[in-house]
Amino acid sequence: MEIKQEKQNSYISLAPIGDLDANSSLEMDECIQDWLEKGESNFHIDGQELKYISSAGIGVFISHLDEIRARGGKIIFSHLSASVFDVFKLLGLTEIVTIVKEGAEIAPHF
Amino acid sequence: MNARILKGILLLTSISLAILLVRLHYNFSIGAGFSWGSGGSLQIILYQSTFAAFLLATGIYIRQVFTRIERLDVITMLWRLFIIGMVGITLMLAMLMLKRVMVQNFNASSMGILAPIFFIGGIYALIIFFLSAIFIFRRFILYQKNRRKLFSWNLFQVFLLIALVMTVKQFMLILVGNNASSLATLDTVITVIYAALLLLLSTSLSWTAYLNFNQKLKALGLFTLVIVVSVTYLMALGQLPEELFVSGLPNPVMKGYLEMKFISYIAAFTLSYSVVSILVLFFNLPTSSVFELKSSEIANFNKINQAIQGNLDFDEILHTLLDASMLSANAQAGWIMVHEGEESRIHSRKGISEPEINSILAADDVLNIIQADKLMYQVKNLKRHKNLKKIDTRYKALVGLPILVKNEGFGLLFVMNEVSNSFEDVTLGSLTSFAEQAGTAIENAGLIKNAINLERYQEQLKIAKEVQSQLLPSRLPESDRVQFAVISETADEVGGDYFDILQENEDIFRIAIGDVSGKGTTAAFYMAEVKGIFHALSLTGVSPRAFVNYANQAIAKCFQKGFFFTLTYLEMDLKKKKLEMIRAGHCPAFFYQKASDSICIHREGTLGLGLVRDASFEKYVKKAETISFEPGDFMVLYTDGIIEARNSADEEYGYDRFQAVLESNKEVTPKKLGAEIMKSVTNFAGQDIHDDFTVLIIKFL
Repeated sequence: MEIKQEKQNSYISLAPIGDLDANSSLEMDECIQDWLEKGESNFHIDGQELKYISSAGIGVFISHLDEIRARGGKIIFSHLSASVFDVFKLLGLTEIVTIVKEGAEIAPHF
Repeated sequence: MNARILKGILLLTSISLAILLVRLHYNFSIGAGFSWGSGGSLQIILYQSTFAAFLLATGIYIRQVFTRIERLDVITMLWRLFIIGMVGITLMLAMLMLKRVMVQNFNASSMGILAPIFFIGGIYALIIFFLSAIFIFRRFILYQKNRRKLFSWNLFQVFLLIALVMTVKQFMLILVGNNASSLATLDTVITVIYAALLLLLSTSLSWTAYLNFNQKLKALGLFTLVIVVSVTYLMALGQLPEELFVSGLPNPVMKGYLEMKFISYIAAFTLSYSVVSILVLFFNLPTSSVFELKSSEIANFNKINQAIQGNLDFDEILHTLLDASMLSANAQAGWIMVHEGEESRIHSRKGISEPEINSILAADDVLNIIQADKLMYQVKNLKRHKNLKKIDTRYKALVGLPILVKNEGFGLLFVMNEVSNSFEDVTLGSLTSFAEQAGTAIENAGLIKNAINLERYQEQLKIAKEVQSQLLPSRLPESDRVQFAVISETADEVGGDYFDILQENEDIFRIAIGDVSGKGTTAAFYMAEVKGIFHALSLTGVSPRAFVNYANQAIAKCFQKGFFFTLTYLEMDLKKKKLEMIRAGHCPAFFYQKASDSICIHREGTLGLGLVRDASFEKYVKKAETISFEPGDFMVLYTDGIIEARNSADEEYGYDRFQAVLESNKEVTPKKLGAEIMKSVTNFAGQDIHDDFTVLIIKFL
């Protein structure tokens, strides 16, 4: 898996490409950790090229959720494919994280 | 016939014939012979034939002794030959001295029968020695035998037999019609052919090549001694008649023992083979060290090769490499370095001190040069090298080369010599192949170590799997109103799927199915904790909603951040024919209602456990769903492994295929339904299912 990283004005945009499973979740974990250490607390996860997400992949975002919120930050998902969205929905994550509809602006959320 | 009996008979015959000879001699000495035939010619034939028979019997006996003997090395056999000769000479000397004493103190005639005993005794000792020599040398000649060698040896034996027949001179004379000159011609022809054969056999010296320097030196000495003994015998033979016999014997008997073909043939063979051996051994002495070196090189090579089979550890391989390299390069000093991260450590050294090594390494960039190029580095003369000339060491030539494992530098090998320019190209070639072999051996040793570790690890996992399988119910509750069936597989040895069915009483059942996020060992440990939580909470009899709430609190405390647990929990009352179900992030349940003949998917649900860990979780928890059931209805609970199973085209098994199996197996027993589901998934995905999966079927009767 590869992660496209982009620093925007008010947030960090991360776009994982391919499968986010038990193996690649470590990479995503380090990536988020790095940005947190640099003082960033607003994240946009761009799901345009995310093909599959496993429970371990979800776990990565969840594990940082508390700290992001404690800092007053946010994590926002966008462009999730139907199957990835299903996983989010099944777990009930749609109730605790923001998932932006396709075509909507990201910046106003932060 | 038994070889020992044969040997005994031969020895007895030989001794009897010797005694007969003594008797005949005695007759001659007291003038009792020569009365038969003209001038006693019959008695002479008798005597000569007896002598020939005696030689034959003794010869065959000794041949038996030395061909049937166990495998002996050259030195031992030569040593035995020398001992045999010395014993004979000692006996002869003793007899001579005894005779002199007797002649001085008494008179000549007082010897009586002793004189022929001494004489025949002397001859006996002599022929035993020479025959032993022949049959011992036979073993040398036939060393690494081939057809040619065997043929010349057999021919040689034939000539010995001819010589034996010719010993009976009187008979031969009659045979050629009493013509002395034609007998002499026959003699000469046979002797010339024999001499040629001797030369041929004397070149069969392949055994010399296999002796080392010390053995060659010993063999050289022993052959010299054999020659000395032979010459002593021959001289004694010339002296014997005069010395031992009191009164002279008539010419025909005594004349020319030396000319007797057989004795001169065996003596000539012994002497010629010994002389040629001495010459060959002598000239081979200087090359033997090279041969030894090569053979020890081969031995070392073999040892490293053995290491490749994986019988040695790193240290042993490196020590062998150093020994072998120093030996084959004829080096006085050498050492091996092993890379450890950025540093290189001296592993072992010989003939050189650590400060010396360090000063060499510090003065020149040897290490980096070899490491960078992965090639051999040679300094032909340290004293002329710009960086190394100031180093205080007695060594002048240096060669260093890398030890590569999988083409990566593992270490370095160095050898040094006191003489400049002393490493030949051949030597450098050997060093390179030694280092390569060692590299392969090290790689294999590593592989084997890894394989052992892996095996141990797998063994541990097997135990873990066994322990984990005991965490899941081994027997499902049985009732006449409900039937259960479960299929469960894990992707790794251990997994994160959990299910349990607890029966509170005849009517009430508590059922859980869940999945720890992630796979493998971590998931398996958390799954064990989940079991504890489920069992503890079941005892409290709380409502499903409260159950989920408490479970989340417990999981929040014991799960590492980022791990969570999805759960479907249901409480079933068979009497009321109702069940309460709550889904916490887990896959939706399939429920088949017989009355409407429809399958309904229950998607209503809450957050997975552990995703939100504070009190705010409670507000996300919805009320449990209540479902009424009738006989013929069934409920299917499962984990996502089955839905996410993929085929070779990377397609998901999915809900639709799953539901289709249920649709077409509505009337079967839960066990049969489980088997059908399993069949369908395996057919779809092939053998390789990447996730843990569990299916739990509850059928109401």
